[in-house]
Amino acid sequence: MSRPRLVSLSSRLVPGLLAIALFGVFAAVVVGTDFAGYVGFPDELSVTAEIGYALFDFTELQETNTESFLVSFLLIAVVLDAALDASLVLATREGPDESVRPSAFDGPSTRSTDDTEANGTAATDGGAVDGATKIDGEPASEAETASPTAGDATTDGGDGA
Amino acid sequence: MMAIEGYVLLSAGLFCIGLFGILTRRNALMFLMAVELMVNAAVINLVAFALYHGTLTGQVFGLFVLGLAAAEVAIGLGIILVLYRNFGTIDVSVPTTMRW
Repeated sequence: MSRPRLVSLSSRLVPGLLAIALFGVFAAVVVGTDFAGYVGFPDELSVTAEIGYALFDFTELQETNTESFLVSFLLIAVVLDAALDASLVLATREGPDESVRPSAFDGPSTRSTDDTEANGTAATDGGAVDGATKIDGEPASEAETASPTAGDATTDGGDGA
Repeated sequence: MMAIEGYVLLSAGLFCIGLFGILTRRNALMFLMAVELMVNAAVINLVAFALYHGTLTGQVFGLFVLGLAAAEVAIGLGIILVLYRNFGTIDVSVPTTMRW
């Protein structure tokens, strides 16, 4: 049977006391403040309709003196669109073959390293069996000369003898 | 009807719960939820004082803050997804490369 894990009290004691102390300060300030002069809304007023009128700048339909928020409304809409696009960009995989597994779980055996890429370049040597020169005349790299089994026997067309 | 002090105390309580969550949680999702609690505490204050003053400006601002909170959650969830993809965990104390 699984149960909720009990966390150690010591790691949460100080933040808990801090939060409680802050709430005590807030409560003391609120209780000590005189909130006289309450205005409120008339009973017959439709708050939702008034908010809608304020959002769309219908000042002639308003019963209260609320300022208009049409520009703010449009700006918030643009920001929401940008946030949606940004979240899609963040969530999209970079390629179709990108693994769902987190890259932190990939060991060194599954990654493509420079050594394997260096071995792969031996396929373009045009059949230079000695490994000293490539077809374009450049001297072979140390990786190619150090590893004579870097694909030469299978890619040189069999003329290496 | 509930007095204005009740709303403000409710807002203060929510804010302190959110602060406690931020200080103690290391899971990024819980972190995000704690931030949302603090944002909603501010929204309760806006609506309560809009009622107190008899204007609707605070309520409209509350709507805007809710919209921005939704945008923040969208970005936050994307960041958490990338965090899990790169580090294999959503513990906010693990990635230290941008810490100074």
